[in-house]
Amino acid sequence: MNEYKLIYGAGFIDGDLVCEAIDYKPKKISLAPWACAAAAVVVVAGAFAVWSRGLGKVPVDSSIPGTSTASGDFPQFSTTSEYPSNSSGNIMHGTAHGNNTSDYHPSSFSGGTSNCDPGYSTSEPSGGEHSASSSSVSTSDISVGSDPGLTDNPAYTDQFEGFAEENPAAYGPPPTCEEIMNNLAPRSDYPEYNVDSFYIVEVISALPNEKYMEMAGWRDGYYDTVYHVRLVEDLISGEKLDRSVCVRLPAGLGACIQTQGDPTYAPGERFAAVLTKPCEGYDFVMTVCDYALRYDLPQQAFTEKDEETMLYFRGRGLARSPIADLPFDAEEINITSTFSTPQNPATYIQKIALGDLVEFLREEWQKRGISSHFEN
Amino acid sequence: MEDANIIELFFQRSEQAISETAAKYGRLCESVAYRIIGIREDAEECVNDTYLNVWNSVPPKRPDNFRAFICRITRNLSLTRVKYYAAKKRTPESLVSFSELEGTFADHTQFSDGGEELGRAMSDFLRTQSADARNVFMRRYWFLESVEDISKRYAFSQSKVKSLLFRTRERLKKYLEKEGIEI
Repeated sequence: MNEYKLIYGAGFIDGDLVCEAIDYKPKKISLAPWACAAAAVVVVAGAFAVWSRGLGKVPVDSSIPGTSTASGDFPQFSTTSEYPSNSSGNIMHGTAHGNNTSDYHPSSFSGGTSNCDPGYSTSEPSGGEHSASSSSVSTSDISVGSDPGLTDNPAYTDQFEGFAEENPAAYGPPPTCEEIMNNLAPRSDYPEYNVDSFYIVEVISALPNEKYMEMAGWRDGYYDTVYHVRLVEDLISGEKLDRSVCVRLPAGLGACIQTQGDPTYAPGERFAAVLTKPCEGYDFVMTVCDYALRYDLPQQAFTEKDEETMLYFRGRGLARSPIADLPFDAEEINITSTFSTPQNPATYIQKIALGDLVEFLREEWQKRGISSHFEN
Repeated sequence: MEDANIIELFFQRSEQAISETAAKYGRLCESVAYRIIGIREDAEECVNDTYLNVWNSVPPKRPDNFRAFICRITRNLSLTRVKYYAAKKRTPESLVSFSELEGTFADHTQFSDGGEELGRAMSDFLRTQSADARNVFMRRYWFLESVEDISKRYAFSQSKVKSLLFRTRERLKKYLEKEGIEI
């Protein structure tokens, strides 16, 4: 749609609508006193139940911003013990400090009423680690075309409404290794962007986005999708993990509004990404370097004939490019794969070996003091 | 002073009409102009031109909604000023975010198109939308406020504003297609 015409046509909009816009104040969400009282009873009862089971070890620190909300409409964890936390006890989403991640269940989200509410955010992926697809097709045979083993993920109903606006021209030429490493270098002025590590994550659910943004006190205007994920492995240290966190991906606005060629992940899907450390005021982990170091791990990647795990780079409708000068073999491919909607298949344009990338990152990060493992 | 009384002063050709208009709507007009042009001095000039335009058009016109009437004049004058800058390749900061504008504002012929039909259809459509969606849309496309400004004004996240705008535009597009209006 031509925005100029919108602006021009808007000049002829009726005067009462203009006056309404001048005076308009959105309604504030408020709870009736009886509802507050009922909520308080539920919280106290829940806290007592947790405490009585000997699990009440998690103190609530309400001083961390972006966590208080009066709305029962936002997705929330039902008790403090259910906040996902990292191994050091920092809560990556919410208010509390604790280390009992095993108590976290995605079903404790209250869901939402938005018309964009995907409705699947409350369900655990079923069928083990990779319920989304099952095929023994070797990726080495499918470098071009559509991978039948990757398509038709039944985990999502089709909530697709349209594409987020992107300006491909803004991305410029393909990034180089040097640029990427400079982006990842620790910065004292933006501590929220400092790198934690390079992880494999498994998607548990995509959060109802608007509600999450409200709750988190959103701070910038980029298109984002927030996922509840499980950290599966810290690739830099090689440590196997089982931690629940929230991850912000700069792509699309949830299942409804997606970036072309970069659809919302389905529950059970895995990807590898650089994640920042959680820090006060930004109480969820977010990916760094929004696309260049994010690779998918479709299930077929684990069935390579040489048993090497392969990573797949999403080209966002060919608007974005992978790193130009990786110092190891990178295979150009052209594969499409359906995740959350057949209307927006993912487009993979590069395949690399996970081991090569990890080795490269480990060396570079050690040299430059990048990530929690190597920082000074 | 009530709007009806100010209009009456215009009809009496009393210069007090100007001062009363400035006292009541001067700041509003200035904010409308400034958001569009982004240059304080030019915004003030546009507001002064607005008073002159009202003086010249009332009478014979007797606007039903004087506040909207005067804002519309300010908006049109401000856009004309933007058109002038665009022609000189000096796009004001406030309009940089509208991706297609620089070229189209430079194309003077598009300003001569009748927009009444489109405006009427947009009005009808907006009346069917939620208050949040409608007013966010108006703030963006009528007042030409940035997403950031709208999010501050309404205490919405920027992503929520973008999301509301995206969906409203999509629905408007379908509505206009159904009405046979090309945009």
